[in-house]
Amino acid sequence: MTFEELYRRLSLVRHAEQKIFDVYHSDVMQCPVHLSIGQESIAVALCAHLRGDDLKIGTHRSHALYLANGGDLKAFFGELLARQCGCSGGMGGSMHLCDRTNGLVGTTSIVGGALPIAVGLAMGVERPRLAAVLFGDGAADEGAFAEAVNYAQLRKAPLVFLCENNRYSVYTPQRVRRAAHPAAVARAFGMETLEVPIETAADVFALHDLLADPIAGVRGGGGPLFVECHTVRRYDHNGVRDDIAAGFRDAAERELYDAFCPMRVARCRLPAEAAAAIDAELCRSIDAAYAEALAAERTVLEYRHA
Amino acid sequence: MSNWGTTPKLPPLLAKGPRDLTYQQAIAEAMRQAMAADTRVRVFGEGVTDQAGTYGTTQGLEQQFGADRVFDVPTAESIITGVGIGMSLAGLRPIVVHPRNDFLLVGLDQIANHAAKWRLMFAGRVQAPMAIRSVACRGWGSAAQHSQALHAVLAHFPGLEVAMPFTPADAKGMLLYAALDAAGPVMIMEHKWLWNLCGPVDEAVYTCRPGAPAVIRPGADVTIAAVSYGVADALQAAALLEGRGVSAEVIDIRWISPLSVEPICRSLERTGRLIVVDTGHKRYGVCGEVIARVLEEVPPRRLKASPVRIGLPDSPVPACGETAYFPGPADIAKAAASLVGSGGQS
Repeated sequence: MTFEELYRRLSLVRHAEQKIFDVYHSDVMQCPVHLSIGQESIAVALCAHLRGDDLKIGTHRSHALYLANGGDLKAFFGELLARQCGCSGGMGGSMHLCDRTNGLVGTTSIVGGALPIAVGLAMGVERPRLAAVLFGDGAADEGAFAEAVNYAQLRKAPLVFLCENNRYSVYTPQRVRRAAHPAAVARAFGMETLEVPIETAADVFALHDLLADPIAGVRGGGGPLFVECHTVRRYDHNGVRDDIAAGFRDAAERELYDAFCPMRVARCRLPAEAAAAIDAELCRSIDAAYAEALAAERTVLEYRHA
Repeated sequence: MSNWGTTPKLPPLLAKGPRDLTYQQAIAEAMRQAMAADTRVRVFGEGVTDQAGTYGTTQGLEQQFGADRVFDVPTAESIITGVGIGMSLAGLRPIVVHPRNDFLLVGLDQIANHAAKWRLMFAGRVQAPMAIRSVACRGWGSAAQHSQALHAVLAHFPGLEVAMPFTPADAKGMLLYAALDAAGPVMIMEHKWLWNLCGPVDEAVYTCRPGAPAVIRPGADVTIAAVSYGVADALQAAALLEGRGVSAEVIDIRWISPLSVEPICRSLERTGRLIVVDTGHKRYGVCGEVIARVLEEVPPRRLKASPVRIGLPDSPVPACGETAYFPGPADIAKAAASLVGSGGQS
């Protein structure tokens, strides 16, 4: 995938979430939102190596996965706005996105819950197809994580585990949760493991290149791959508050974001006018898709209580 | 000989047919037929390929259908169940085997938060059909953590169908429905104490979809609706009652989710007396749900006495004193006789 294409996807995710950020205060979206801002390069670099018929599963924080995987913008906003045109018919909200035509079988908000299912996806596909799961470091705290890593490795399942390590489970820091990094657990089970520092993970082009051969190896039958990308979450666990400024997380997190914002890093690698033109074009598409979704039919359900 | 413990030798409870199988044989036949009928079917669970083969119901499957389709797994209920969901989402038809009810709880997140939710959460655009077999057992001092019947816990969650097969014919047909036809996850809650129960089973591949309770034994004075092994107890109670001049109608509830009570209501309108027998705990269980549903349909003036619940006491199963702990035919007969006595002969 070219620089420009990668940048285009990164910018799409960022500006779609910026749209959420801009309207969320008005309460027009009646569901929680877990923004990927600060972490977008990871889903974009991963999806650039995935085919439409590869099977993917994600978590409550899956806006980036859905959009980087080619999900429809109107269906995305429609889901957040509880419209019938939403990707999950308005039944799921932002934490439960699906896109069957592009291989996204769903996203689950039970932390760690996607991991066992991902192993089953990988055991159910035939080569050269593979499965991929995106999850946070919080998911690695769950027992299901160890079960999934063990069994995927034992079965040589064609599965890419991609852990977005932002060091926090909501506001609980890693230092009170983990004795070892998630990747160390995978390595202990004998899995091929990549631990990616934030300076590389935030660089969508570098991460894209780094993942190419290992993912091709999974596709070729080499067994599962574990990638742990160090990253940073710009805003609150849920919603649009600046939780770092509000004192919920270390101030150092903000410094990390300022240094390693994936959009800022990527813009340095493209001519400024080219990046600005892409951004402007995407913002127009995003605004149009949002307006269409807003005008679409609401999902209305009726229940009889007596 | 596997550790069948105190699995009882049941008296003949079902009329003989042209082809009789035990409950165990009927399940084994369903497993073989499901594998043969659809190459997408996969079978896995703790011990499915060991020599005991899930109490004799999965023996020989690996040899016949290959290790890609039938395989043993780690002792990790979360991954076992989740792999089933993932395979289903990838287009396969998994039969996940949890040999003991009690261990289902370890994988409950995958069952209740994931399998049960997937279809609704995505507005039917993504579905995860799968069969989950589990076996309730009791006796032999199995105690608090190896004797539970947890079907009511599962029936609490919308999105799961929960089958409680009593007859060998249902044990086969419900499993084939779950494995071959169902659009979502189906829990097949088997009971080890029915393993030797003999009854007519058609050799063909057939499916039992969720449906109405079945009247197993007609009667006029009292309605006894029961699930699973409770039906065996109820039938034996009905035989005892017959000797005392009381005619009991025994109804096999069959499916607790979705639950249909129509035949129970029709029966109650004739008898005016209702006992519900469950293999799970009396409180927060099948008994209360069935009675509530029935009372929403049947006007109170049709009742000759208050309905009675017979289920497990309000404490975990003890290793000692099991015969006192578990209600049996004598308890049901006593309750029925008391109802008839209080309500007068009909």
